[in-house]
Amino acid sequence: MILLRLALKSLRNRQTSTLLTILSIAMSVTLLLAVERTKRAAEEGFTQSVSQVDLLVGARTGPLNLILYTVFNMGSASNNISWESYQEIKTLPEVAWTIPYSLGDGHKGFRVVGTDENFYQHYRYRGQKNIEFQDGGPALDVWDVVLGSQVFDKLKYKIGDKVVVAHGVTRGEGIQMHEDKPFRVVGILKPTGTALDQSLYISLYGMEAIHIDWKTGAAPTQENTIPQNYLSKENIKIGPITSFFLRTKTRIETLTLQRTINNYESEPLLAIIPGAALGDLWRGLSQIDTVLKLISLMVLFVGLAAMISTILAGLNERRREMAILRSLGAGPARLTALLVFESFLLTGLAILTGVLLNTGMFVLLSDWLESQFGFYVVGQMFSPTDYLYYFSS
Amino acid sequence: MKKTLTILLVLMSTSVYADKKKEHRHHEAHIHGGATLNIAFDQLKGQVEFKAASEGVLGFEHEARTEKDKIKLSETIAKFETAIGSMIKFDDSLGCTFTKEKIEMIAEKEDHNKKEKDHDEHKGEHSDFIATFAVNCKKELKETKVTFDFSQFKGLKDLDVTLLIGDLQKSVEIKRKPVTVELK
Repeated sequence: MILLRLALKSLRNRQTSTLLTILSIAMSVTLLLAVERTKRAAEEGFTQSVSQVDLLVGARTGPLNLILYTVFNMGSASNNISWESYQEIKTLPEVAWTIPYSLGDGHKGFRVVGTDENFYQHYRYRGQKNIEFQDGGPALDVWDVVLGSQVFDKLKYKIGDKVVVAHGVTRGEGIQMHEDKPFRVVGILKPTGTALDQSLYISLYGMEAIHIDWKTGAAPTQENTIPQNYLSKENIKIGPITSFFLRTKTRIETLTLQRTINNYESEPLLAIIPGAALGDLWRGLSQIDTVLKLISLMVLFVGLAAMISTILAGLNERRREMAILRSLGAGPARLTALLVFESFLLTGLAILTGVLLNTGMFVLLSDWLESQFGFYVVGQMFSPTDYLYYFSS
Repeated sequence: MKKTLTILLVLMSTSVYADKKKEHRHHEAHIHGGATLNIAFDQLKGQVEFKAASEGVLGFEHEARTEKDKIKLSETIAKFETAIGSMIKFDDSLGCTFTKEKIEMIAEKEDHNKKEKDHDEHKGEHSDFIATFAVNCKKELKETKVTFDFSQFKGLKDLDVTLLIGDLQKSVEIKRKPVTVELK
């Protein structure tokens, strides 16, 4: 007890340096825990970019390629899926719902996705989160377009504005524009922190309508052009799509259906379980994990070095205090015990401060981190690695 | 004229028939030492599908012809029947029981493009060992752990596990040592 009183009085006597020591260790602990938490949040955000989808189906390619071009706007499809195959699979008794995706066009560097009402109704990310609008509603009519939040932030369109889609290129400026058939903004999505934010969404009819008079892959001549006002859902026949998301009625049926689709005789198709493929992809990026761990260890080392140097520097200032304690009868063992106890007290307080800072920071900033950077702060606040760091400290 | 039309119709129908008879050329990947394990669960009921290149679990890929091969095959089947609960170990508290649906060795499909005389030479060149089980548990699996231990099969070097537990989707890669996976 006397040790505690002595330590507290000694620390209070050196208030400024004590506070600075606590603060420097606390900052190191905060940074260390933040790196670890950010790593887990990035993994959760990445692997849960799409959820509640049992199968992602595309033309036969690699699983990673399929997930990259469908979910992350990266790369492009090797082939399309015929509308007939899509309809056949969609109507199988095991299927609860499907979300078709038709890709290939862009707008000012953003991708344009042709889809249907099921996208707005069933698409989920980060567990149960569904697509929400900050303004307007879904693109259900032929010439409707919905903007992802980043598209809206960058291009500043308003509801009712006209949007001209570029043919082919989805990155950068397009070379051929569908100028004769502009879309009208009907909705703006709320930020999701996923690649959904970086796309524009039109209906499958819209995607078909802008290409209806494009013969042999070339833009129509003036006399071949079909005027926009001639086109309606009734006279548009939807063609091939790029991929589709699928939900089965039960998970056991997922395995059977995956096999059926992968052995589909009419067309070479690939069905993957997106959560599993995303997990594989994240494991493939294990180099990032190693780099982050290295950063964590360096932070830990710097924090400990700061603590040791502060304590050693303080020793010189405390010569008088030591001399008084010695003259009052305190032996070397007691003085050593006092110093060790002080160090424990300082480290304990600093760790506690660091943990509180880290927790507070993630509680306060979790929504912002998710919408801006796609960090999904869920699950346990402290991982086994965090406890290892406390122990090391 | 009528005769010509009939011949034309017969010819056309033959060509359509021949077209329909076109074989579906499709070969699944076959990796020696590799295996896949798919586990899907809806609440308390689940399905387990194990598939490996026969070499990894049996030590051979050809049809079991010799007495030694037949014994090895029946021993491996028995091992799966009796010890699947220790290869895929759910929490004891869940009270999960496995019921065999099928365990078999299936020769890879013939390449229909090859000529008939080639068939015998390549027959049974590759085969898969497939085991399917139904699982029934007394409690739901979420927030529990499952341990995979296939170390008794020395020829099995890489097991890709896919888990579908309700809305939880996970993939795990298992090399030699047993691996425990948290279902959350």
